[in-house]
Amino acid sequence: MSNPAAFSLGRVSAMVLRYTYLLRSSWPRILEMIYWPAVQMLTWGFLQTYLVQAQGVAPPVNSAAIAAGALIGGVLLWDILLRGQQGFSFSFLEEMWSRNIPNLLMSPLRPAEFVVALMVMSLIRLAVGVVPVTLMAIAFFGFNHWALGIAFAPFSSNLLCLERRLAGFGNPVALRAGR
Amino acid sequence: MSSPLPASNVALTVKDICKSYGETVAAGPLSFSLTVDSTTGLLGSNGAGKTTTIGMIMGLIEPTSGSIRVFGRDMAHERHHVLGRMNFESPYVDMPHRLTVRQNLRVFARFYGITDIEGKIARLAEDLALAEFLDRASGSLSAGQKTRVALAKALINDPELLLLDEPTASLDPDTADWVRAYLESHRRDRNCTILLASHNMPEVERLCDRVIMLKRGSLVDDASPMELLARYGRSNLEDVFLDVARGRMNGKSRVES
Repeated sequence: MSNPAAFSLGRVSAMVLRYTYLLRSSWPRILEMIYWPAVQMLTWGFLQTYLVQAQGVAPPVNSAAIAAGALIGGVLLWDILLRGQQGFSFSFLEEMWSRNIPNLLMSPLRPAEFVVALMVMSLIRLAVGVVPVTLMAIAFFGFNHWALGIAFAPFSSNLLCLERRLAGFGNPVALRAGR
Repeated sequence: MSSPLPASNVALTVKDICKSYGETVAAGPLSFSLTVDSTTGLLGSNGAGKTTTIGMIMGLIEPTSGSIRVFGRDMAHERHHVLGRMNFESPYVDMPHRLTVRQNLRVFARFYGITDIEGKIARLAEDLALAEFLDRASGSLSAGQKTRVALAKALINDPELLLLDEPTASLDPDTADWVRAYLESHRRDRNCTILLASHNMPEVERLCDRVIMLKRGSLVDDASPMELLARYGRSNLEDVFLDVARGRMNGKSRVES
């Protein structure tokens, strides 16, 4: 007989399903997740294009192009941090807003399963919000974030750890002090 | 003082629990046990400690002192061993509003590891007359419909211990009567143990075979409805409740626990 107190992927998937239903129920939420990163990318991307054209020097000695490329990369990384942290926090706050916390605490859902589900949702929201923007950066501004290859994996992992620590700090404060 | 019940026949044991917020005692000290296949009413005025007591039993509120055991498991350290065997319903706890009733029930069914989820939802929908609004958003339902949905959520795992916090609050008499009838039949069919906090005295008289009365957080009486009526010389529980709330005893002795 299975141990009822053991970690259950079934309960994690139940929470992910719950948040997926929530996302699907509101097209403005999905649009918002894509819209703001896209606006940010276009704004800074056009600025980069302007700077490159204003300097008028051909690569590879174009320092403005290098700086602007770093700027686009920074914008992308900032979006990864921000959207990932929001994905974690918003999913948790959603439970508070809908007054569903007692239902969850009284269910067999374990805290570790809840946290894993929030992490999965953070990745899903991140993918929905940032992947289209990285493709946009390639298409419009020639900045290929994926070309960084395997070296980017540990960096982005650190970024994800940081965003979860931020959310892990902010959520309890909201739970304790929120009204 | 009643003799201790055999452990196998006990669903819930509350021993000397107390909840304080600084100097203010919200509930306790309280001690009682619930036998399997019984319905017990938890009565008291507003602020008497009913919801706090249920919150402590559910593990949502940490008692300042004392212990709670459900099916022999200590709720402070082993609650995840028994949470799958219990459930609760309260009109003060919402289901996620944007999800449909069916989606909410699917999610909760997965929490409890239900295998035939759609079949279970279909049976509950038939029993609780949910079919017509299964695919509507939970937030758009009327109070009566929400109560039936919350009851479906509470029964989705066929709980052996069911905690109900004013399950018919804000319902019209017809819907409230319907909910009571359903709870009666459910307990009869499933040998479920029910702890019911309510302000509705006819409801308690109808459903409960034992009543625990609280006043300012403490247990002031514990007996069957018939015994309470005889003890206080009253013809209905409402008058007994008023006697307890106002400290009237009609010259009868009161059992202090």
